[in-house]
Amino acid sequence: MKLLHKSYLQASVLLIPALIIGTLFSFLIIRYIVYEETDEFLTYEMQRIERYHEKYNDLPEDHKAVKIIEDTHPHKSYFRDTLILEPADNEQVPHRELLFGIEHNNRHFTVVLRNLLPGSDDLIEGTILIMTGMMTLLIIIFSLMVGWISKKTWQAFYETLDKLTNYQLGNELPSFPTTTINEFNSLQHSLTELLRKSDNDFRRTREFNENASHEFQTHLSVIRAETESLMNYSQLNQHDASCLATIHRSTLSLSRVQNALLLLSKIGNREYNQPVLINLVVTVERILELFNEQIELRGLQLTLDMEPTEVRIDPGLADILLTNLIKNAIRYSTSNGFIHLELKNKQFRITNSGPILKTTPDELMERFSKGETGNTGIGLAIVKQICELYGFKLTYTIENVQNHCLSVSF
Amino acid sequence: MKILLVEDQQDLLDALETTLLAQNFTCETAVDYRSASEKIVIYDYDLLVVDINLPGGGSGLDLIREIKKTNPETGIIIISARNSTTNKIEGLELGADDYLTKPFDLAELTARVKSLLRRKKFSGNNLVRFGNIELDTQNRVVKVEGKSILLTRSEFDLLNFFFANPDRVIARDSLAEHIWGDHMDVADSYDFIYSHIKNLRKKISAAGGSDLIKAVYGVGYKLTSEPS
Repeated sequence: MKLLHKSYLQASVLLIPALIIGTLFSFLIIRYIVYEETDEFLTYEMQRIERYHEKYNDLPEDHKAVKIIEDTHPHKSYFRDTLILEPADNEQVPHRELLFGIEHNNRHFTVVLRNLLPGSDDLIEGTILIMTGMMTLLIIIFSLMVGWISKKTWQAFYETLDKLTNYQLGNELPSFPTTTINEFNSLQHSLTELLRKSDNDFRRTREFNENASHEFQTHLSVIRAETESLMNYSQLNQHDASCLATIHRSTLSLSRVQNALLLLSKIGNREYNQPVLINLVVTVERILELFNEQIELRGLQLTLDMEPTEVRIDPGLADILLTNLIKNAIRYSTSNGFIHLELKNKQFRITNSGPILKTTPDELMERFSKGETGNTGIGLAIVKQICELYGFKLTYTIENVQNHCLSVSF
Repeated sequence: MKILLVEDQQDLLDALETTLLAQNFTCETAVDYRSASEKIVIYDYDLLVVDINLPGGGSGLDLIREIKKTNPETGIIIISARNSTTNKIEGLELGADDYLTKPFDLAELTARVKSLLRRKKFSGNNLVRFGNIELDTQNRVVKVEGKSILLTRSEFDLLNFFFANPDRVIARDSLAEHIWGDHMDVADSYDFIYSHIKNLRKKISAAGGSDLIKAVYGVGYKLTSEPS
């Protein structure tokens, strides 16, 4: 929910009690005024009748008395509320009555003046109508004003947010818009500091990785080249030759492990950060072409079940992710076994026939967890890291004792 | 054939030089940018093998830019410890012909050098001959005694690799890396290489070709004309 909408919503909730209290208050006031006015009107009428009577000893022609009760005891004038059945709509209607005594030819009469009062329900209806109207008008004006003011004050905030969202590590640090609001200024200041620090870390890690890798591979080149030269030395005995082969082979493994570690570190350092929408079917088909020969040589049955699946991911990482999963399946499947590859419903699923596991699937996922052939499981660690980066769900399950199944849900 | 080798790691430079000299190439070497740059100006080379990271004021990419101005016909192979795609693309865009990531095999470099020089110099003539076997690198055809034999892609690549490195022991790992690159798992490669070589020898001998590929116990194989 947007900040502004949230404010509106909260303000609206707070307006409800205000509406209720306001309505009650208005109702009481209006009722008070109605009584005041009615009483005043009746009092004037009473005084008019009294004055007329004093002067002419008779009631005026146009008196408003509804009833004259004969031979009562003298008493002071008083008001009272009464309900009278209105025959027209068969309803009890409230009325105000003023009763006052009058002496006429030594007899005592009580004159009753009466005036219609507006019903409470009418009053409530009226006040609610007025209050709702007022409130609606207020809310509209208020919203327009707040909207306009917020837009102006929060503009710097939204621009800052936008720049921050679009910022990618390794790019130039964003310059935030200037603002006169202290809070935003200090937010921008803190953000800039934070970004500068993470940018420094990013650069230092990248530099270290590159330097380490460079040194490593250069010296491995020397070892490899010299080993090759020695292999061509004609007076080698079998023992020497196989020693050399082992050294040569180790340099190759070392160089691959180092590349894999470098890759892992680069992914962790978020150096691959150009996600685009790609259809993974194309990627899978390209990768499978590379492994065609190995699948054939190992006598594996490959079955495919793919539907076009579009995922937002860095193309390089998509390649690495799927290559590692496919390579892993080929490597660990039993000879003359099968590989089943599924890509549908936003999920990549690869199942292969494999040996019965001695460890749990979770352990395999850990970096450098050793399988039976002594191969490093760094490929899976890379897969795991890519999945973490994009929030994909990686699961490893065993079905029917020896069908290994790895799946990635996008 | 005159080659300029530019590499700041002296040991590696020596190894490269020794290997290429053994293949009858004329080699000159430079360990930094400045001396390489001077040599480029003074002499003409058929091929430049250059590292990207160099001391002495410039990079291998700068050298490529210079040689493209003075002698654009020169073949260029980049050797770099940086396995980064952007570096690779930049180098190839500048006009480099090939890119090798360290650590590489000397046999692999030799093969790439020969293949590149063949493309540059003998346009049209892509035939390599060894014994009674003739290999057409352009059309990927192998003929024994004038009759072509049918090889798979990998078998052809293997034979081509051997032809580029005659009389040299080539480790099984190097062969595996040559045909499959990083996609081959080290654990499997021995078996696959073994079966490929077996098939290759079978096909050649069935066509009456001389058995040139010798196993070197515990290490790999060797293309040799000597009788065993």
